[in-house]
Amino acid sequence: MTNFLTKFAGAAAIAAGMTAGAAQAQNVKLGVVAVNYNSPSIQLQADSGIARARELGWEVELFDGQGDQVATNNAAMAYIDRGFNAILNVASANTQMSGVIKYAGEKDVPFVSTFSGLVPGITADVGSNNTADGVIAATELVGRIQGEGHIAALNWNVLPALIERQRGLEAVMAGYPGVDITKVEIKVPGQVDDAYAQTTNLLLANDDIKAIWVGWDELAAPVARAIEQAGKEGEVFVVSQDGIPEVLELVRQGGPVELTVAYDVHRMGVVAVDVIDEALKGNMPSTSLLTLKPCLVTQDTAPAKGAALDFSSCSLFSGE
Amino acid sequence: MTAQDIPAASGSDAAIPAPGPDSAREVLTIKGLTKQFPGTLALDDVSFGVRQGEIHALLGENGAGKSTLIKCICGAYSATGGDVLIEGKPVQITSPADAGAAGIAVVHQHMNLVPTMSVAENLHLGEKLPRRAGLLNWSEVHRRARQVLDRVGVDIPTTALISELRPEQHAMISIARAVSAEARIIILDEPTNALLPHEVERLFDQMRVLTRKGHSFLYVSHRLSEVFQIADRATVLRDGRLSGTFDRSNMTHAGIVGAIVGRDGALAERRVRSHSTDGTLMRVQDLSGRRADGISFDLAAGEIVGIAGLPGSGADETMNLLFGRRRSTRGGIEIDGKPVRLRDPGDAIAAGIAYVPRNRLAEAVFHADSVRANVTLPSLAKYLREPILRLVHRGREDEAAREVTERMRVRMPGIEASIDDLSGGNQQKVVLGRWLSTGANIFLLNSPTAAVDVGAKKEIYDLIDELAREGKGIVFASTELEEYALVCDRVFVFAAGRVAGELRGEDVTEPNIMTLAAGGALAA
Amino acid sequence: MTATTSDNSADPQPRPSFDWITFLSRWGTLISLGLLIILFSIGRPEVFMTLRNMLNILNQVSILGMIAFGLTICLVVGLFDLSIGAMATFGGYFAARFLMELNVENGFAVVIVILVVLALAALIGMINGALIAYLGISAIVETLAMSFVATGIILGISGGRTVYATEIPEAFTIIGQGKIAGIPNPVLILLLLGFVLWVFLEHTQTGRNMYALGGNREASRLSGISFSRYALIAMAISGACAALGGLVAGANLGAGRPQGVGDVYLLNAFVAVFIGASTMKPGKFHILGTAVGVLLIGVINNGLSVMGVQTFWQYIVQGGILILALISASLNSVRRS
Repeated sequence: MTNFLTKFAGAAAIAAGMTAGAAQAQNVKLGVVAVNYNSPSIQLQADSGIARARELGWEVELFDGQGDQVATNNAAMAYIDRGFNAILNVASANTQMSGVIKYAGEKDVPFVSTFSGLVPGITADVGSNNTADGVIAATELVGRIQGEGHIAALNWNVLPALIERQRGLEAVMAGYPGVDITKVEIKVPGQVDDAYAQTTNLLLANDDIKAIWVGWDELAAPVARAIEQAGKEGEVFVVSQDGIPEVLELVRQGGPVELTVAYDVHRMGVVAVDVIDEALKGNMPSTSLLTLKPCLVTQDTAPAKGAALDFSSCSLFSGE
Repeated sequence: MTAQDIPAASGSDAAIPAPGPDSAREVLTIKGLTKQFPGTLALDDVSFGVRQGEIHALLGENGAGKSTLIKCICGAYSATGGDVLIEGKPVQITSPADAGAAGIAVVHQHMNLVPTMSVAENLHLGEKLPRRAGLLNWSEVHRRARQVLDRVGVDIPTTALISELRPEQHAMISIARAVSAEARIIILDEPTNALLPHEVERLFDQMRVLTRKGHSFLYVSHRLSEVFQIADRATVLRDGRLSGTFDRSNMTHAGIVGAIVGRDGALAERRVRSHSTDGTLMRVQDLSGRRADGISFDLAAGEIVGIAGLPGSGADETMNLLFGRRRSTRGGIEIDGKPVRLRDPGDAIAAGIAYVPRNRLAEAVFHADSVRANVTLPSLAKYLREPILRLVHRGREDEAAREVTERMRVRMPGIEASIDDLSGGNQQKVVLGRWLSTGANIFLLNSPTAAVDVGAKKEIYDLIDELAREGKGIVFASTELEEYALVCDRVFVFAAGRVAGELRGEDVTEPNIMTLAAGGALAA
Repeated sequence: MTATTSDNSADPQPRPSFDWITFLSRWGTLISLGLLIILFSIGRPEVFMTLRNMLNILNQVSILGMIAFGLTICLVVGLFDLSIGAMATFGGYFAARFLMELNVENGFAVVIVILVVLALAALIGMINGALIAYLGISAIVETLAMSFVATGIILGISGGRTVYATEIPEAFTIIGQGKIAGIPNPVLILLLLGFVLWVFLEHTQTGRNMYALGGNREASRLSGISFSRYALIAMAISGACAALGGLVAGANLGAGRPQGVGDVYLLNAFVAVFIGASTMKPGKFHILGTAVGVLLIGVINNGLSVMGVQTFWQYIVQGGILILALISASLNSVRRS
């Protein structure tokens, strides 16, 4: 239990904006902002980026907006005013940061984001192709139900990335008139509890559901729990997208969660910092939308417990 | 205030002001004013007049009709009959705005000021503030406020916060507001309650200045000595009727007191007292608090002792000190010869003291709860099944509640009826009855018959008598002075935080109480 | 009073044959609950009115119910507790975290950990109560502040990381996932808690004194009831119930989440308790009423989603019913005054 305290102290130190790393001659200062650093996958992206920057000998400061976009924007502006060399925006919608992006452009400060969407004026956004992820998950799903039957889609159609994934699902299903989709809008916040309750209700009300597509991994566990609780294990399976460790483990164990399309959160931060590094040297990226290869994780390809997914070797489609 | 405005001398002999510009002209005339409430005639054919430039005192006991009269004059109530005339012309006043237009302003006990705002803002309350370019013009606000204060001769910075000022300054600011609204008749509703003697003196000085400028005051007070000091004339109400209007020439202490209490103090139904007075139950020694000083008396078993006095006289404070509602600063009490420390009401209850507060709805009734719960709450510990979980034995609790309500003759649909559905008298019987089961030996009753109908009043008197016969000690207070004569064996009358005198037996009369309470001395 | 006129007997108005306002303010919420159940049963008879779905509804509202029952206690005393959301997260996270750190599969250890977590939550509640009672701070603001502190502590210690099912012993998850005689454990816990708190409020001196304090604090003081003592007890119960709710939620979903557990329950618990205060005993917070409020929310959410009605309707219907409940309660009090 001693590492409670060390964790606590560590988190406090990061939040307080402690700088670290061996100072090198370059003396680049990087400002990292995240509107919601406490979300696990956002934290992974930010931490891997920060680690990479420190490897390069940069000074790094992190700001956690705790859900407050205005505060996040102010922090980014303050970094620019304080003479920081670059801004890394971790998963705070770029559409809501146009003022910062414009100011960074005026001051000639590279603005690179991860998972934040493409808007004019940014140096680059590093992310995954959400529509493609949705298509992959949906294709795998439809193949498993032989192109017909009743399925459900649980999603929160507010976040742009989630809307894109659902678009991928709908594009695939447009080709299968025999598939009947019940769409359920999940309440956020409270998404975990709501996904559980909604799935329980769905399974009670619809005996014929064969599969459930969920918009993001956070819903996979409660949906799987609801399926087990309803005694429908083996009848109903779940497909998802994200690839958070908890879901990788669920897939490996072979419960109702059949598969997830994982994107490479670790590499996103690294790539973003590398893009900044090149931009500071004057080499702008050829495209402002850099998407990374996802990975299809099934029981067969799931990594061992606690092990990281190897994106360089994993497959994209079940046929490979 | 400027130096030339202060009268040369303000001693009581020189207090009779010089006649105003036209001292015989009546600016406000009340003619046959009647106000009927359901079941009650609050004002019955009241007529009198206020002359220009005079200070006219309005006197009477609580419930004599003073506040109803003021509310009828200023339009808060509409009179059932009679007329209000301004400068001899009848006026229809149905709202405070009408009263303002007729030149009448009321300064209430609590002054209606906002403590967190400045003097200037308070003087402009409810008015449109001057603006420049759409924004408030603060320099103009303060300039106007300065003018208003200068008119009444008050030297207070307009930027001062109300909360920083002294009570008499609050009164003067309220008066200044009235004057600035061109009020010719200013009604002061007990403005001196919160004031210390020297503050009263300063307020009176400034009132005299204003009368010389032609303003008239209708001045409500309980303090007779002040009335003699400042009033040119006095009108007394009793039971909603005019009891008399006095000029300076015929204004005598005895006459005024007689008019206030009526019947020259003769008592119709004084109870035959046969309470035993042997064995001291409670000994109060040098008990002192913020507003009471050096109170000492003994309460015998079976005795009913009255505590009388005007608001702020220390009578209420003494009741509060005896129940631990306020902590004493000095002295203490002994019960059955043992000293008792009263840190809070819990200590008092444990020592066998019961208390019926004056304001039943705010201080005694547990709203939205049943009669049963209202009866048994302070004695619940007696009906527990066991001491750990403190589960209540409902059967025994119900039985106790039934016993008490029967003895108190509470009229109700049943013990589970909501307390809020009972009449005031029956609620009061429940409040009184809850102390019958706590094993209390000493009952502190503060106005136990307040807002209770006549029938219930009699039942409550009977009950107090019964308790005394059982050997309980009772300390009684009331806002209606005649009750002391009906109920008490002896009465301590308070004035200025001290016991001004003790009355026993046949001396317990309204005029005697009133005289002592108003700071006078009894004729031997 | 002065000069009372002699004829006091005239009844001001004839008595109406049936008092609709009283009737509706007492039974309105129960009637709407009944109507909704009938409506949903007609809509999906083969699904809604089944034993399985009834247990399902109870299971779905069990956590909300535990939190709302605790909140009822402090509202009885007249105190608002806005820290229950954070306390629910606190209970869920720390139970999971402690068990992960201890790494034991032993039922006895699980019970000890649960008791420790509940005791910690009660302690935080008592700190709330002490600050409110002894310093005279507004309960709303103080508990809000405490919820920030608790949220910060959880986030700091967790580093934002969820404790996953695989790290939690089964002896713990069984609390949320198991069944006894076909009845899900959370439902059993809810019923037990509801019964205990009902007895506590209605049948013990402590509970009765709490009602007295809520009814009239000054009158209570004059009856020898110390506000500070009961404020402490009420806030401790509220904190512990919220932590229990969060803990069962964690066991049910097999996850110790450091955020997002209690936020939804906070608002719904207030809705449930206030609906309850307009049920059967208008103007009075009580456990049975809260239970009706909780059930109403559960039936609306379950019924509408079984009927396949879109999510936004659940918000609208729930808000509408709350407004109706408040109107019926106020009708009654307006008439009283």
